[in-house]
Amino acid sequence: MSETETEVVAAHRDPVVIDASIRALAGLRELLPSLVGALLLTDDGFEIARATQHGGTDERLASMASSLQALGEAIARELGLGDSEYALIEAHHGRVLLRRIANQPIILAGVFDDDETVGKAISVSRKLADELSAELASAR
Amino acid sequence: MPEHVILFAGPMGAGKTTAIRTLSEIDVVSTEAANTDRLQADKDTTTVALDYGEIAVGLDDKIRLYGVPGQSRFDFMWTILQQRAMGLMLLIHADAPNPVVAVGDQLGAFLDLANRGGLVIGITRSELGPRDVVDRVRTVASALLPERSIPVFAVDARDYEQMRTMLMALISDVEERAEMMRASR
Repeated sequence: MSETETEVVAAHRDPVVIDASIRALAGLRELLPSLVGALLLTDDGFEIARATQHGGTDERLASMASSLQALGEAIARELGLGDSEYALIEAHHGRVLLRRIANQPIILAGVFDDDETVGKAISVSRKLADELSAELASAR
Repeated sequence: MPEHVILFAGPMGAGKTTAIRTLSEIDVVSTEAANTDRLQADKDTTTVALDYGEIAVGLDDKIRLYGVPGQSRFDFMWTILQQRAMGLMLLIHADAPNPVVAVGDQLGAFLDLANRGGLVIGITRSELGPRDVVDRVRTVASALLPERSIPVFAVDARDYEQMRTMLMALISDVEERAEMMRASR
């Protein structure tokens, strides 16, 4: 490799990304007491960091979140709606929120129990996404 | 002819997305993400949910083409998409680490579909693999499904005529299997 070339490190193996992600998820837990679990993952479904509150999340959440985010973005693209910001799954006993970290190949997946208001989860996750995006952009 | 749902399966890098793009008459709906797993396949993007294409048959009928992700961490998509499928187009790239073992693994993962529906196997990049790869794949497939005569093709996923021939063989097998199922009831 020449001096001008830079080896591209996958996000889930990049210490800078992992460290920033762990700190971001810790902040999310403080702001959202109803958070059951949260992941930051790569676009292609590899887990970067995880935070759990009440006993863990499904190990396949990263892969499933990757698929669902990609399907949501495909639907928005097909309908000419532009970039999608987040996707929300409303279930009887909780919610799953997926949100892209802007300008990064990274997705946030948060699982909340039914105590949290949707609006708060959306706004707090947006704040995390904005701050993490800015931090990772400035680190490069 | 009833509507056909065809599933394209195979390991990462086998050419599933390319094959669907070659065959589809509509712009393919793709869910590609940046590939960070360069050890498994040295390519820029990878399918993380599905590919979807269509071929019109007459005025009202369609062949629906679904491609699944190749990596086993997305095997929930294999389960979901397998349920509606009537035929399996299994693609294996000959320069995979062990293409013959990969055929066995993939047939095992899609055995339910292979047993009840049509099945064809395509060997892509055959010029880059072992010289006898097609024969060895045919042997493995016959051992796993001894009652079936499984067509095995050496194909270029970018070649419309080759992929069309393979698809027609699959449709024929789908209809034959459906007729057998009806007769056995």
